[in-house]
Amino acid sequence: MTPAVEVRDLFRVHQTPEGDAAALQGLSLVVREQEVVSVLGPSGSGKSTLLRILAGLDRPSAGSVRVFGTELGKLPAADVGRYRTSTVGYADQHYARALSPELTARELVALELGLAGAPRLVRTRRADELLERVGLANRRDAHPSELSGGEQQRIAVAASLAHRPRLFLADEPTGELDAASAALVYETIVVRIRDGRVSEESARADGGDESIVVGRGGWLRLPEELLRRSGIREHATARLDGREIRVSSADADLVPETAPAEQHRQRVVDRTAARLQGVTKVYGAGASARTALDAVDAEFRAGTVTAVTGPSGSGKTTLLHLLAGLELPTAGTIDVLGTNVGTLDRARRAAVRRSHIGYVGQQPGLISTMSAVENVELALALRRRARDSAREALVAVGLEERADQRVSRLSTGERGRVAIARAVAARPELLLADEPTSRLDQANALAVGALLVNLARESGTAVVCATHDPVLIEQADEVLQLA
Amino acid sequence: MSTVLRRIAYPLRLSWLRLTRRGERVLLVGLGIACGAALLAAVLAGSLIARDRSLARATARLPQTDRVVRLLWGGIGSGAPNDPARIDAFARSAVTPLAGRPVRAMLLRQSESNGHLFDLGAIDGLAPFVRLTSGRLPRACTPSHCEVIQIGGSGPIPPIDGLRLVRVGRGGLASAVPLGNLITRETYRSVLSSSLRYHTAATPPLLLAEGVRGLARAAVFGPTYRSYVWTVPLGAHDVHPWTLDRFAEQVQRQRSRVEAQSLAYDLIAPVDELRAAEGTGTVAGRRLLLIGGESAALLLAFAVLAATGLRRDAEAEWRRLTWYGARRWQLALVSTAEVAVVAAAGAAVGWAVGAGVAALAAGRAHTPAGAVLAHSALSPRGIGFAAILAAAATVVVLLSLRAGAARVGGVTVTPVDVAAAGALVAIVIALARGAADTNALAQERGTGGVLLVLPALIAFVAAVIAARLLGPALARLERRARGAPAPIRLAALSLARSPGRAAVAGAFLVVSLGLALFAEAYRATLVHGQQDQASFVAPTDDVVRENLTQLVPVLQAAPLGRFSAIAPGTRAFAVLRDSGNVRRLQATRSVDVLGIPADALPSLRWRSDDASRSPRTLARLIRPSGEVVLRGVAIPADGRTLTLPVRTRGDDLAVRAVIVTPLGTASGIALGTTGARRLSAPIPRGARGGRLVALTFELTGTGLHGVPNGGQNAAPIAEGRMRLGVPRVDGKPLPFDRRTWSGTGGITDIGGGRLDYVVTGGTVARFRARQPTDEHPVPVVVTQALADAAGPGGILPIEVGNGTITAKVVATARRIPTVDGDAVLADAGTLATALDAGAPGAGARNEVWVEAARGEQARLDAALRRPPFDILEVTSRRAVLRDLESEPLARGTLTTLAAAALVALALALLGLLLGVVADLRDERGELFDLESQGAPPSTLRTHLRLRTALVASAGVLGGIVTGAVLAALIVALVTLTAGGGSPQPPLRLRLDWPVVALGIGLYALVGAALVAIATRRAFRADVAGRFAEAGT
Repeated sequence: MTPAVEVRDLFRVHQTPEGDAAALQGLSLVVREQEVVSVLGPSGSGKSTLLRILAGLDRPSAGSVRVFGTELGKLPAADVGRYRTSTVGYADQHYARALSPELTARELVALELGLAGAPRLVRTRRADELLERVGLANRRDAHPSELSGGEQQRIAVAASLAHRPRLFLADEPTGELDAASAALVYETIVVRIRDGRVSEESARADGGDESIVVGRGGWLRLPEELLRRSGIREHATARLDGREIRVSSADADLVPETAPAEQHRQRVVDRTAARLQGVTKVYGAGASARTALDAVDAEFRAGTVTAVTGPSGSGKTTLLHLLAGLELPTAGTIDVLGTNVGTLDRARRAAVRRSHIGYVGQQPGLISTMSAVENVELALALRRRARDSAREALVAVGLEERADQRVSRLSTGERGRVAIARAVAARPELLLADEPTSRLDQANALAVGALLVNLARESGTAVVCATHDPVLIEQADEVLQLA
Repeated sequence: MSTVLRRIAYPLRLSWLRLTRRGERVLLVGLGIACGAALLAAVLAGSLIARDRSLARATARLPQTDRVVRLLWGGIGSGAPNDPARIDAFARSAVTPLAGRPVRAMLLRQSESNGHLFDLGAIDGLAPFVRLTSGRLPRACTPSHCEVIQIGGSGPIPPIDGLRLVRVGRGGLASAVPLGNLITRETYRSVLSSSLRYHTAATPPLLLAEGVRGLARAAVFGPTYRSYVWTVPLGAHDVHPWTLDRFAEQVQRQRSRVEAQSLAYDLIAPVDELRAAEGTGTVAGRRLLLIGGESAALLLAFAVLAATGLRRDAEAEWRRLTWYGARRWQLALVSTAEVAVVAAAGAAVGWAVGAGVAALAAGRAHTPAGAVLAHSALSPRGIGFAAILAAAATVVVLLSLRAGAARVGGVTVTPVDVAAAGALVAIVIALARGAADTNALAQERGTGGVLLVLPALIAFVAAVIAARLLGPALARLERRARGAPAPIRLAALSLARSPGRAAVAGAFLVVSLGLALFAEAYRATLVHGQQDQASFVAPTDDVVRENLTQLVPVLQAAPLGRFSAIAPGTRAFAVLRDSGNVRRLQATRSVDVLGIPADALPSLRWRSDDASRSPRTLARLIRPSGEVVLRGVAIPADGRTLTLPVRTRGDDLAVRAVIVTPLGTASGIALGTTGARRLSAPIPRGARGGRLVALTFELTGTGLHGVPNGGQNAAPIAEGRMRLGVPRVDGKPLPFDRRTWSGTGGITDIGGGRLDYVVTGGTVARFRARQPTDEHPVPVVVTQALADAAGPGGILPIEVGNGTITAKVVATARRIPTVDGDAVLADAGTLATALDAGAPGAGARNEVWVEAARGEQARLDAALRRPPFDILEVTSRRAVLRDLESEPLARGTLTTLAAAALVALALALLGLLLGVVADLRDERGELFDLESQGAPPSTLRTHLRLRTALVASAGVLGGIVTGAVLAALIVALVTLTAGGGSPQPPLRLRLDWPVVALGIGLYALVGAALVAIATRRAFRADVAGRFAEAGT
């Protein structure tokens, strides 16, 4: 039986002005039909590159890639489109990019069928069915700008499944989804697989039959739990011990140790960094008004890590924006370090952020034309701080080797880490992070979690993270659950 | 619907959804295309309006007798084929289709009856064509009673058998239209008649009757030769540029028809004159297209700029659709359909707007709007233009959205680079071909055609070069800005690392500002060109010459002092103009010789490039070192009789005293022959107060009496010796110093008052006063060809009249005012003296140049239209300039240029604004990110403003260079005046610096204000906005 995916000695080298960068080096992999495979690995390890090559969106530099017997490296450019339409479903990690702003949810889901020439009735019925399955049947006429990030992600996944692909490739399909939404998405994918002989590869999946780990020097197929317990992150060392191969972490020391809880308790400064009282935030007016937060009271103390959780659309991002003074409440007061930011004008709120607040956005942000270190230095310069700590912060998030790369050439996960480094470099009194680990592999998520905890312990920073990542929630001192 | 069709239809539906739901994205692109189309349509129609008005003006300026369609028939009245009714019917059938219903007239010229000569004519509907001075208008003529009005000549009404003529009134012709050239002015009245009357017989009476029919049927004139004429006056607006060909064709067809009928017919219409006028209009109209095409290119460039702003959006859409499995052709279909719809809609709307504007303009210009549009914007050719524009816009926008790059030998080459290289080749070829004059531009293709697109090509190449240079320049700037404050560093960094859009924005500014500067410079050049033309024709406020129909010399009509006294501060000086020959010239030997007082030169309107030296230097060079006046013996103003004592031993000679009158003319007084001891003659009135400058001696007879063989191979000769006494006037001796006189042409002064003479008929024997110019050549300024023809030391012999002057070239001039061709310029006094020395009277001034004091020009012009100046020909600089300025084509050209400059400037501002708006939109996410890191709105505003200022500075700099290069090349290569004629003097690049400074200042001011407002508005809200973080 022909395997669904057969990859041998795959290399992909990107040429950049800063030098050649090998995203994949000698990857070999076989995936059977109806098999669900999760691709795990640190950010920058080539997960997205692998999926893009399998989707026909990128070409291998060397090696062989066969999908259902088709050699993708030799596929004429004119046939690539046909291959994608007939064989592949692809959900990009940048889900927002997959959604045309002028189309409704139903039109988006029906898009691929339309391009394939399906009749209107067929594609409408199929779109409605998928929207129903991802819990967005009532939002079928909404445009992307009217949907939350999680809702957009669900639409993007549904849209990539509409044409019943034989190979489904999903790059971080649940990165910003709460557990319930993620479950819906996985259920949708799995149902499709069981129904229709689909092989699935996911750059991060909790429910995979098998996991593969992408490493810089080659490939090991090891269970995630095993890796985690062994402390293996990016690099592993393998040595032959008789007839056994002993694999140990080559970068175990990169994972910062979390300070003991007792020590933490002692260092906590007994003061409130930020407080919300009866905060309500309503977007729009009249019939289209949508309440993001409704009379929320909360308190964030210095030296603690608070995880703000809740389903997508529950107002997590809005809460962080309000605390940062990036938005103003409809009602209620927001006290940040003794200042009611709701009463300040835009420039003064910027001054408060500059002096006291670090902010990591849901999107990594950053100036894409500048390098990682320049981005961090710029933030420090804006805060009138010495630039020396820029590289130190990048080392802390494991990016010392990528510090001089232009941000636009970094992977999404690496960009996320740069954003974190930029926020922590200034040692702010209040650090607000929106889904800081949503695009990170588990090891990096652990490291970032530890980094934030240490920041809180050592600097007395109040860290507030909007997240649904259990790894991060586990390390938090407090959890604020939004409805 | 099949699957294949659905796969084609779906991308089209997607395009439609994108356009209808987020059409504002492409609004600016559509607007750019619409503006380009509107401008092109308006220029197409506008150029036709200007041509029509120019043709109407040229038609109106034709002499009244020529501005008609006229059919003539000449023959005797008897015989069936010559039946008046039959002839009339045929003639009307030939003339009416051409220009409408004709007026019929007939004339019996120089008829005779019973020994009386008379001219007898008739006009159908006589009243409008005559001016009654006495009596009444005649009633319809019948053979038994034919009433006539006498409109010219004199003498009694002739008695005619069988036709009773009754004169009922007198008057004159109010219009020459019905009879045309059948009668001349002399036939009935003439300005010259009073002078001619002495030599010609009195003109016979010219009688006109009412109605041709009655006169034509008069049996008495049956065998008499007569002329019938059918005339239709052509109104200024009867023939249009678009009807001229048809009109000419019809005239030719009818001419063939009438000639086929009988050779007695002759059809006359001013086709050649109208074609000549339209030819100029066509050239000027084509040049207008140059400006229109250039503006359209500019607006297309704007569309490209706007499209570049959409590139990110378009790339995102392609990426999305690629993820969803779209084929390449489907991607292309989505993009092409979207752009094509925008381009087609923009072109259609723009074309309609342009046509509407043109219709309004046509209405104001009293030109039929419907016809103008039908033959320009809405003609098949015009619609084709619009379609081509839409197609070109689609391709250009698609290219700007999708153009990729290739690496050739380590250099990145884009399709735009390749196109720019092609454009550069075209420019080089155009330059190699040389300048295009009116003829070249009149041709549809060739040099002229290439030159028409030259501005667009140059602007395009400049844009690409600017875009190419901007990247490295920004990178260098970024390196220098590393230690600068955050906003500066941010601005420099973002520009240097992502120079693509900045390069496009900068290139657009280079194009728009370059074209704005070019349009303004070209406009200023043409305006100054008009002034130069007027100054060339009249270097002073007025140039007064003899009117050749009046034959009254200028200084005879009014002395010089009279001109100066016209208004306070008026300066007048007499100028000598003659034609001469220079034998050393290889080709045309004829030159104009101009004598202007050296002191007057600096006050003339010389263009600085007219000569190699300044007018002041030229004046110094031609000014004589000492006093140069005509020497001779002064004749008292009240002297009546001139007497010359003379004793001769030898053959007799006729002696003539030559007096140069106070007006500078020569008066020869025949004193008698030397046979008499005392020669005497009255002094003519005009010569009194003059100066006796010479005595000439001529043979009194053939001198061949008694010569063998009948004088064959023998020449007459008179020899002898004479003693001249002191000439006297009214008996009083004149201060005659014989030592200052010398003999020429066979006269030799042997001292003691004695002259030996050998006089032949071949030369003029003369004893004359020695003149200051006898020993010194006349310093002259000459044109280059003459300078090249001069001998060693710059000596140049010039034949003028009957003499030859020896000139010395002291300077060269490219051109000399009022002279079209090779010319010699000398000090008027020196030149006149030199000419008078050889041929007394030849140095008479024949022009007066008058310069009024500031503000008195109108008064001067008015005075010169009144007696005694009204019999002279006056060329007023103001009138010439007014005429040039009022020429419709010139006005159209200048207005279009001014409009093009303003539009380009406005677009440059819009481009600047567009750049800021695009930055604010596309970098919303990055700006939000900076703000989230604590950057206050003021820092972000400063960052954006600095970026814009950097791009704008590069654009302004490049624009100035581009505009200067463009203007210099176009002025050098397109040698046309504002009105479409050949410029004399040639055009010279000019800039109205105040206007340019105002433009740049205005641009900087408004641009800064727009950018300030845009950036202020962007950060004025309390918060950045809900979706700012995602950058959506």
